[in-house]
Amino acid sequence: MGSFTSVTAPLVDRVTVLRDGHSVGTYPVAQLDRQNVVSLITGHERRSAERSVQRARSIGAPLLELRDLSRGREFTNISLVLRRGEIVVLTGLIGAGRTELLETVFGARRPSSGKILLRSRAVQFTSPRDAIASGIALMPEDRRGQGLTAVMPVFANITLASLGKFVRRLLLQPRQELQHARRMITDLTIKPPSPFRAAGLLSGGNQQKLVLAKWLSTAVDIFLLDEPTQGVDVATKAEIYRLIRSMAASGKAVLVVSSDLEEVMEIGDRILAIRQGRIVAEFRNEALDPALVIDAITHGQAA
Amino acid sequence: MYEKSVIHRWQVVLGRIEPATIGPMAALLAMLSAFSILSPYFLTSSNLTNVLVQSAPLLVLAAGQTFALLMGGLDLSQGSIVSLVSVVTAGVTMHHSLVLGAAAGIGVGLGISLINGLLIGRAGIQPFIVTLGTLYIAAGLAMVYSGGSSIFGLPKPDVDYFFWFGGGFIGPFPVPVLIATLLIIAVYVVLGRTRFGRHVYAVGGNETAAVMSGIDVGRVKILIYLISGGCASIAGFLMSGRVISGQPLLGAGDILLQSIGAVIIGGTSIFGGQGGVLRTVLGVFVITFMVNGLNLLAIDTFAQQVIVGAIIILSVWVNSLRRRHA
Repeated sequence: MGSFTSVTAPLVDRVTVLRDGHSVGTYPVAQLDRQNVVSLITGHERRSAERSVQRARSIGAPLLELRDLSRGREFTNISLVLRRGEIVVLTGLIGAGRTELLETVFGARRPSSGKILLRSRAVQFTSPRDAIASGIALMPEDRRGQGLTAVMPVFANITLASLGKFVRRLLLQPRQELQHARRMITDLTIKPPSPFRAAGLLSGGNQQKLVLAKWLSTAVDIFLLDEPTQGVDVATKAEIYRLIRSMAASGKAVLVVSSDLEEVMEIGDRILAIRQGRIVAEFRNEALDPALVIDAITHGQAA
Repeated sequence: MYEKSVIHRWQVVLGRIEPATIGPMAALLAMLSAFSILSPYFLTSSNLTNVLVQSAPLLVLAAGQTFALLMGGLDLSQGSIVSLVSVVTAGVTMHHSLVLGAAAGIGVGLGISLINGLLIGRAGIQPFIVTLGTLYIAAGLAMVYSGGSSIFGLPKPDVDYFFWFGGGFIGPFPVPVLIATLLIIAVYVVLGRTRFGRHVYAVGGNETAAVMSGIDVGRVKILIYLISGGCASIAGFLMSGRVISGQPLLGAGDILLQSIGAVIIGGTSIFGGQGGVLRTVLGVFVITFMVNGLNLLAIDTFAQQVIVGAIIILSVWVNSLRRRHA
């Protein structure tokens, strides 16, 4: 391994490492090599014991398969398989092509080459509408901009993608719609529990649960989650992880994009490292050393 | 967002009032009491009936305009559609029959609306630009079709039926008021109780989120402009019936600005996603009662325009203050 100074940071004199919003120290580059930096960034991971309890899920048939999917310069030759009951995490630095990949699978962008297979059949989506009808949901990274409608009340956000269920003789049935919204609010512990509050007034974590509730109200079984806990407080993070796991346990397939290493280690059954638009490494999350993941997303080369 | 009864009946029972309607409600009440003190004629039943009849076309127009504003757009072509429907209806009635005339007139109006809808919903052009263009196109077509002059002297008995729509009565109720009332009820149900209505709010509230939730936003926009222009066509028909003639400048005056003004005064957000048709009814009454009252007090129409303009600005200002404090 080359010297950290010469390879990564030829212009740098000192390095300050931030973790979870706190500085963990400033060091002259001469004192650092890549291993030091990685362990400073990750902290001393201590979670493998906690994680082992969650591994009782049965993984089923492949639901979504990508074969050599490429789009311009955003991502190249992405191949992956997502199975029923499985949580796969795609991790990489911001700008590595992760959001673009999810939006392409969701039909919001068009791939330039490659195939998307759904339940082993090739599909081509021209809009998110198509993708949703085929059972795919996307929880976008920018929840205020793309995930929810801030001026609409909580209940209307929850039912927005599943309104057809509440229509009888052309008319929406407010009683059934509200009943459903209240049930989702309880199930997902959305706070405050008022269906009439404007969605924009909820905290980040509760907005995120709201977006999840919207998709859990539909019949989709493939969930694409883009940075699901960004800007979410610690307690709500844990609840969202619990939700994601129970979704997988009920037979849904979940593809998570995350650059939060703790999150990656916490929820991923398999971890794919993406760098500069290519998948550079794949890990099974069993006794995995987080340093390997960091190394892959920052330095990994495509095979 | 939704009007109170859409949210739920018990909240109405508990008397919860949408804060956005407090302003226009207070303005209306203040006006009604001031005018009834200042003018002995204001509260007479003949005057009130008169105001209602005069309000009917504006109610119809503004009900349609409400959709465009809820989407975060607007429809500037409504006035020109009124003019075009007026001359085509009268022209065709002259040579054929009122049934054909009405079909042709309203058909042409819907044609212009469909052009609006396709350019906005499919080609993705700004509503302001598209409807500014069709404002000119429809106004020009009305002049071309009529040769710039009024079309009157319609044959009997069609002319009597025509007047019935614009100024007739069923029992004590003026026909145009009944038509406007039915239309308001229909719009209220569509906005509050149908999937399409919810989609209108969703597109106006956050268009990207609507797309990402699987809503066919283009289709929603096409329908919105069909409804807005369809309402303008009905209003054009009613207004022409009242004057039993085709007038190429029938919608060229205040009526378009009053239609947009009524929706805004009523408290529907110009950013889209918040508001409703009952607020629009409130806005229409603020405008028409004010015009009527000022007429009774012999205040000239130019001064009235100054006052209407000031109320539009004031109502948006009050709403923006409220939003900042919320």
